[in-house]
Amino acid sequence: MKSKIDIAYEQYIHQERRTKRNVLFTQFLLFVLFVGVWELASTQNWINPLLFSSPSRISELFINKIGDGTLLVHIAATTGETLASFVIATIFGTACAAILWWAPFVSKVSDPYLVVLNAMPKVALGPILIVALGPGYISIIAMGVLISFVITTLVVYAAFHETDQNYIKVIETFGGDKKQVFQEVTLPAAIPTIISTLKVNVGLSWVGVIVGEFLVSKKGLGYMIIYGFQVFNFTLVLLSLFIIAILATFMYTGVGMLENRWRKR
Amino acid sequence: MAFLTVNQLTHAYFSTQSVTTALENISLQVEEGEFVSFLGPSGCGKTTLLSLIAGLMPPTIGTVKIQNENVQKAHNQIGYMFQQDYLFPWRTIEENIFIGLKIQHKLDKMSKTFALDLLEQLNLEHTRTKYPHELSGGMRQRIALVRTLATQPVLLLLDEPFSALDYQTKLKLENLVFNTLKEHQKTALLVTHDIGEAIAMSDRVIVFSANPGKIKSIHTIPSELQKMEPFEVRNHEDYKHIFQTIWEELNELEVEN
Ligand SMILES: Nc1ncnc2c1ncn2[C@@H]1O[C@H](COP(=O)(O)OP(=O)(O)OP(=O)(O)O)[C@@H](O)[C@H]1O
Ligand SMILES: [Mg+2]
Repeated sequence: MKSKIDIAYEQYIHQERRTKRNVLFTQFLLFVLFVGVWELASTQNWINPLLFSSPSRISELFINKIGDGTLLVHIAATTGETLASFVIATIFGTACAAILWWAPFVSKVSDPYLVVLNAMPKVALGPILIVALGPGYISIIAMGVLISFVITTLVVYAAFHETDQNYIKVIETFGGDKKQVFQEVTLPAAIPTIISTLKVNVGLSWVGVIVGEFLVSKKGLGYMIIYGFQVFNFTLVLLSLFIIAILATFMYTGVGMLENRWRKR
Repeated sequence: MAFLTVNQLTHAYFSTQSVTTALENISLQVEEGEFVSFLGPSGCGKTTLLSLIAGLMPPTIGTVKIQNENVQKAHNQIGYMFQQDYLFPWRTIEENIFIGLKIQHKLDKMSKTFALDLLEQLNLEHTRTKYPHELSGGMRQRIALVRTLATQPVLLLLDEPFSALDYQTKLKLENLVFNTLKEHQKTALLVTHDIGEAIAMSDRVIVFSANPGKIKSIHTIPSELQKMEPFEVRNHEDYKHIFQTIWEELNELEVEN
């Protein structure tokens, strides 16, 4: 009896492993196929090689740029700006949310302004930022912060606001004041929401920083894109795109790991 | 001077559209060590009354005094238990039972030992490092009791603490709470919808009528039954008789509404 279950279980595990292997293999195959077809189409002139470049040209450029050290400078600049705007936006947004929660009057007064700010395409403020803060990395970071902090404030405030009243009542029956309610209930109860806004903010910070670099920068991956576009070097544009995709994925995965670690507690 | 004095208490909830008078002209005195139950139809203001006694909000009219002191300053003397346990899911059981002590800045070696001893008395010491979601409903409500008693309150306010439990667990917990409170000589107010529970646990049962909430009648339980454990009371011959009286009274109230 038991051995029959064991056998069935072994089969099940075996099947699961096989499915997993097949998925990985297909994913890999697709990637190879994509790169291969692209390369072929480019060398055979089925697509315009000036516009779509080719994997070999992109990797050649990659090796060159790594070699002369310029690529790392660009990557460092953009990553630094993105991380800075991501961290600042999250902390600043959560702090604003805390103020709104703390002072209902402030929250009522600021409500329509927040709605307008949230609806507004923040990118449109770019030129004003540059004039106000100068054409440097401060403007770029400000752009990244601006784009994600309003939504962080709104979402985290909503989480603070929706804290189960009964948990608050528990603290109040012990004589807890508002500060203790915030420390012991409101903030910890909102941690899952804050972590999920981190995920959104990763993406938004990248948008803000790249747009910022389009507008002002002399370095960074956004600058590489604009420069490549201006001198009609699409190999450079595509290289930047790939690097951005990889870096953004790393950051997103990092936040995902943070989330898992918190869940396990 | 009584231990708890509620004097001509009236409470109304305001919204921009309407006024709801939840309680009207409630006066009530409770002696130290007494166990009093509140019975009444849904919405008659029982929870409101407990919240006012706990000093969670100021009454519209009237006063509540504990040992001749206004309740707003008496938080450290009150313990409150809810219908559900409301243990914080992100804290371990140990951290949960220390929360009241932490809030009141009384978290030291002695108070910790006291709380952990209580946990042991209720046979729950093995749950110390667990999280609430790992425990059953009955265990969680017992932990909530430990959390409430850990700050050594003199007055306990119990708002339907057993109503979310299955019948058997409920009967056991009634006995447990009764004995624990008698042992520590606490004064207690219990809100319940269960007539039997009210009779079995209390020294006095106060029946409320609704819209607005008022005291309808007060039943003093015979002293012989007062001393018995709740489970024994439920089997006593006088129990049925008292049950019948209160049952009819509550039925009348329903007809009136
Ligand atoms: N926060 C509130 N805001 C407005 N009205 C309220 C509020 N809390 C209670 N009420 C109203 O006050 C009245 C009394 O409510 P309360 O919760 O005290 O009744 P209860 O006796 O505890 O009822 P139940 O037995 O259902 O728990 C009800 O009419 C209710 O609608
Ligand atoms: Mg109630």
